[in-house]
Amino acid sequence: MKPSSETRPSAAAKRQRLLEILRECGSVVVGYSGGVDSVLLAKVAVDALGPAHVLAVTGKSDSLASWMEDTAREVAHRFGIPWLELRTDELADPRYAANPSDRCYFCKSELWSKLGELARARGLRVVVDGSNADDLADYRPGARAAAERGVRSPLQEAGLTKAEIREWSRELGLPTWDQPAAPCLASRIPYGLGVTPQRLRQIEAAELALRALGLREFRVRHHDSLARLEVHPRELPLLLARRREAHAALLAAGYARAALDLQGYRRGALNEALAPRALVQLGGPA
Amino acid sequence: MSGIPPADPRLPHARAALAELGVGGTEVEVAGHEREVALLRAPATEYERLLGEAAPEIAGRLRELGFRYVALELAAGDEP
Repeated sequence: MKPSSETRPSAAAKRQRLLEILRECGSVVVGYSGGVDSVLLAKVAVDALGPAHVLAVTGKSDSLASWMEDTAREVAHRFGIPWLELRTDELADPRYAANPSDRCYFCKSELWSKLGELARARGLRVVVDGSNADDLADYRPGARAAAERGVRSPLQEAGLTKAEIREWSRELGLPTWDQPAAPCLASRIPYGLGVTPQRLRQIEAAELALRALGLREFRVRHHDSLARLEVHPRELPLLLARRREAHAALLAAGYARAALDLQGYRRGALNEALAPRALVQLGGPA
Repeated sequence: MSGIPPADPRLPHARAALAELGVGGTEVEVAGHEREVALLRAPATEYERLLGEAAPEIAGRLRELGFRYVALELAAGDEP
């Protein structure tokens, strides 16, 4: 029987539950990417526990886009969230650099290991991440790494959806409330094509140049010498109006050719290369 | 021994599909490290049609041939 609206927790009940979870934790290290979810989590944690019991940490590597790093820093400073950056070395792991479909597992293993060590060194009890309730339906090999290392996902445990997180962020005045999803730069490289610092820098240069033209909801997918651009339909008129500039920008970033995907921007597009069986074997949705 | 790689067998079918869909003036070639991209090149006058309502059907027909992605060059056919 389908649950009635009376049995589904309200957004207010979920917010209360999040506060309870954070108080259970007592003190936390937050895996803080500067994205919508982790920013809200860090802010609410500081409000609930006090700044002495919260540390937001951004894992810094060549996979971190500079604009995300800037957002992470600026929001932390503006809202009084204790923050630091910690160098991660996932690129030195050949299992990660080979770029298999479970690449994120190796990246998050490195991140959560380092954050766990930091938490112990600082006397902070629990490492938490910004996974939300909607993420349960996504293909996320990194979630396995989190579970293996005892990382909690308070937003997910409280049942908070992306929409509810954005709404709460907006109420709190967080500038990230309407920020588009922002996975790491390695997500632009098709599985099987190695992740290298050079490719990551090329992708970052290309996306920075397109952001300078005013685009926000897009991805530059890296296919060797070809940049395949996925643009959200609502930004297509802008892209077409500045087509020649966009083309020049992508060539200046080092691509020999640049093309616009006919299907537009879609999250997880590179996962379309995975057969359903492979997704199930890796612990993802069938 | 010839150093020229064999022609991709999907290309004649791709050109035929594009002609059926009324965009026969569009060139198509293969790109990507796994030859996964159907790369189209067309005059700027065709962009609205290729990126508009016909886009899903065009992409669908080419994906049926085995291409994972279908993309239109930002440099139009008559541009460098």
